[in-house]
Amino acid sequence: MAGNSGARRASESEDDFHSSGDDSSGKFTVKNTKKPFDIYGETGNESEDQQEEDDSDDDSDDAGKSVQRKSTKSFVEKAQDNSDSDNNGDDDDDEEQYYGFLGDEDGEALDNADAQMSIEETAKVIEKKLLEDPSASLKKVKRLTPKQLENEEKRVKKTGVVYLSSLPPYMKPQKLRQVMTRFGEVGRIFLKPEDPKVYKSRIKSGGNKKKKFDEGWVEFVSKSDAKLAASTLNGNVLGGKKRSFYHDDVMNVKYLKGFKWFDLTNALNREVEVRESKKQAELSQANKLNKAYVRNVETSKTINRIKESKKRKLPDGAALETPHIRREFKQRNVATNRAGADDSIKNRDTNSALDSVLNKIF
Amino acid sequence: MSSFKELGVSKWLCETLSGVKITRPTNIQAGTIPEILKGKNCIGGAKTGSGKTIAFAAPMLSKWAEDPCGIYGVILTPTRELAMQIAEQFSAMGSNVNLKTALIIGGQSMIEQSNNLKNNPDFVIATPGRLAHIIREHPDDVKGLKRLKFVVLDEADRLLTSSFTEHLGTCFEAFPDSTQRQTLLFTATVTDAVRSLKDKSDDVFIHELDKIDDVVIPERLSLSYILTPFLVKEAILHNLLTTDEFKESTAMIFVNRSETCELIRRILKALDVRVTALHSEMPQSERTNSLHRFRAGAARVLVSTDLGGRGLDIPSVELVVNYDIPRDPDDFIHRVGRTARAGRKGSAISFVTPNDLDRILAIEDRTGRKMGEYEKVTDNAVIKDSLKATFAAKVDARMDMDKENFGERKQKLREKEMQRNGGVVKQGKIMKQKKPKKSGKK
Repeated sequence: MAGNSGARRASESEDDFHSSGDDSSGKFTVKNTKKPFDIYGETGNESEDQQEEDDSDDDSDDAGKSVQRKSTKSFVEKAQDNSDSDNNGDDDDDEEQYYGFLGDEDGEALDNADAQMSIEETAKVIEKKLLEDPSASLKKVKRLTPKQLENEEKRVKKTGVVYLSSLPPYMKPQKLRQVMTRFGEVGRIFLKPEDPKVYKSRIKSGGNKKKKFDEGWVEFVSKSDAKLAASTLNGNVLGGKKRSFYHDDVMNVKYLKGFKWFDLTNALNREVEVRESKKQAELSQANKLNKAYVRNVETSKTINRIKESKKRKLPDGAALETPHIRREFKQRNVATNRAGADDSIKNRDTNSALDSVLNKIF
Repeated sequence: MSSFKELGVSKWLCETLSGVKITRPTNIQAGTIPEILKGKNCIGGAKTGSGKTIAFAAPMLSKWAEDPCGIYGVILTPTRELAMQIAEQFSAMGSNVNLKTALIIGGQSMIEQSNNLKNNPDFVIATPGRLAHIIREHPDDVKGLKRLKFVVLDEADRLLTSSFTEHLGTCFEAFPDSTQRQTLLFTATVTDAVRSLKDKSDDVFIHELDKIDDVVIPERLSLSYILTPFLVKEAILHNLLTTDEFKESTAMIFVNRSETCELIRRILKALDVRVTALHSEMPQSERTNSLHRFRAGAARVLVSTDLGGRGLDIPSVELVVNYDIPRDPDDFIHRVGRTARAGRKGSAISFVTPNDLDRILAIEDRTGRKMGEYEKVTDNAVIKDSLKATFAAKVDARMDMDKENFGERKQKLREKEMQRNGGVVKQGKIMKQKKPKKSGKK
């Protein structure tokens, strides 16, 4: 195994899978503490992954199946969402932040051309629908037909993801794709760039300015290709031509059993969603306050007008009755260090240390 | 007295000063310079913007030029920005005579600074915290301080409070005995500490200390207030900054807390006001940068805590907004002193929430002037132009700040200090400091 904590973590979680798979009850106890992918916090469709793994081992009960069905569906909707937004060039800032590194420096937006090809069909359908009905918002995507859904599910089920706990220094996604394509058709690639702070300090201490990546995930269209890639590359030097830049770099590749690409994106999406909903809540709260203020301004105007008219009606010289106090506000305190100030507002902090300093001055 | 020469300032310095169009000494300069040249200790009372810096710099430089030796003088100020400003003025005045100054302030490389100290600069301009730190950590580098001739405490009323005592104590340990040096104090208010100093010693020249308590606000400065509920302060601020009167003018906005400061900066930035901020949660490089931007006019609005309330000399400031009312009426005087400098006009507008009435009354009592209501910001205009936009910006700003963990840096420092102090005695203090933060969020 690759002597890396990331890979080790993954293997641990794999063990966990097996133990829960042997559970005779057939129900799946999802342990939240160990996940195949705990870097981004909680991952979503865990039950589904587990389900898939267990399909080959023993048959599952109906309840499990329905769970699987449900989660897969939600994924497909997500996928649609994603493909849709890609096509429209309407990326959230946060999304861009995460997907932006798929491309290389030349500004190639997304490096998942192959994956897009396969969902192009569905995207076309959506586009057509949108053209017919412009009022349909991007968020409300029509459901797929059962057949399309089935195809999509099949396609997703076939895919496999490998994890790279470390990458050869300065290897770009494009090069990685080239390496991985040797084993089969590659879908999406995500490489996590190094921390900006680390990058800065690296440059400061004389390092070069190339982009470096910490870790990465590669999606293969076919599971077996992914397994092949992992078993071939892991722990071995990359090889190739002797003069090649990456010739002597050792690869760390791990096949993630039962892990799908959307497990990666799910956590991120949820983060964005949570943030968005929190913002909505705060905005609506702010709106309420807004309205209350406007209303109060109106009221004060009316009251003022009433006062004015009362004043006019009164005979000259007669004073208005003093308004009664409705509410008293707690006043913030006043404090000062000035020697000449009133004792009531003076700051009282007698400090023996201060006296010793004062003695030293003159 | 009509010229610096008659006061006894060296010829070369007079020439340098007239080179920057400073020919006539101000009141405090005329009063203190001859006495300092005579070798007396001195307590000077001076309003903001009255030329204090030259009042102590000119005699010190004159004496130094006669007999330069080792570290000649140390100037202590409460804030880093003020120290930088004084250092600039010193190097401007000493440009002809190869004057070496060392700036010892926090937030910058300490090793470099202590090396500078080792090379015996002529003058050291420092904030107490960092100087004390260097004295503790590198006692060998600061041996030169034992032979200095002058110690200046600028803004002494602020320096002689509990927040600086510990560091000041360390600093004075490294200085020579009080009979071996001249000590100059400059202050804008007479605090108990200053008064006790005055009473303690006989051989001290005192300049106008009793008078400074009286008239404090220049006539050219118009004071006014706006009554506002707590929640729409931001909207009113935005509206105020975009009214015809202040659309183009340079403004300083004072708040009481770093957190508010950052929030206001973000809101105004989102609303396309050229804004910058100054508060203690910013790294020093950003603080310096931000102040430069404001000086150069790249930003027209500076949002600041009381950090920027004292001594900063930015002549172009036309408007001071007291977004929060300060606790100490004298802080108010310092704040509004940022505008109407050196004979110019200026206005100061205070936002008054229902909770601030006591404070406003105390301020009016202190300044001896009644404020009038500022009437050009109307409720209708606020509702029409600012309300919705500012609310949206506020929500955004607050969420961004949450995400970036604003205030984390300070929290860490506090914890560190707690560990150093054993954590028992200071714990109460730390808990106390935490509390207002929560209430401030609302």
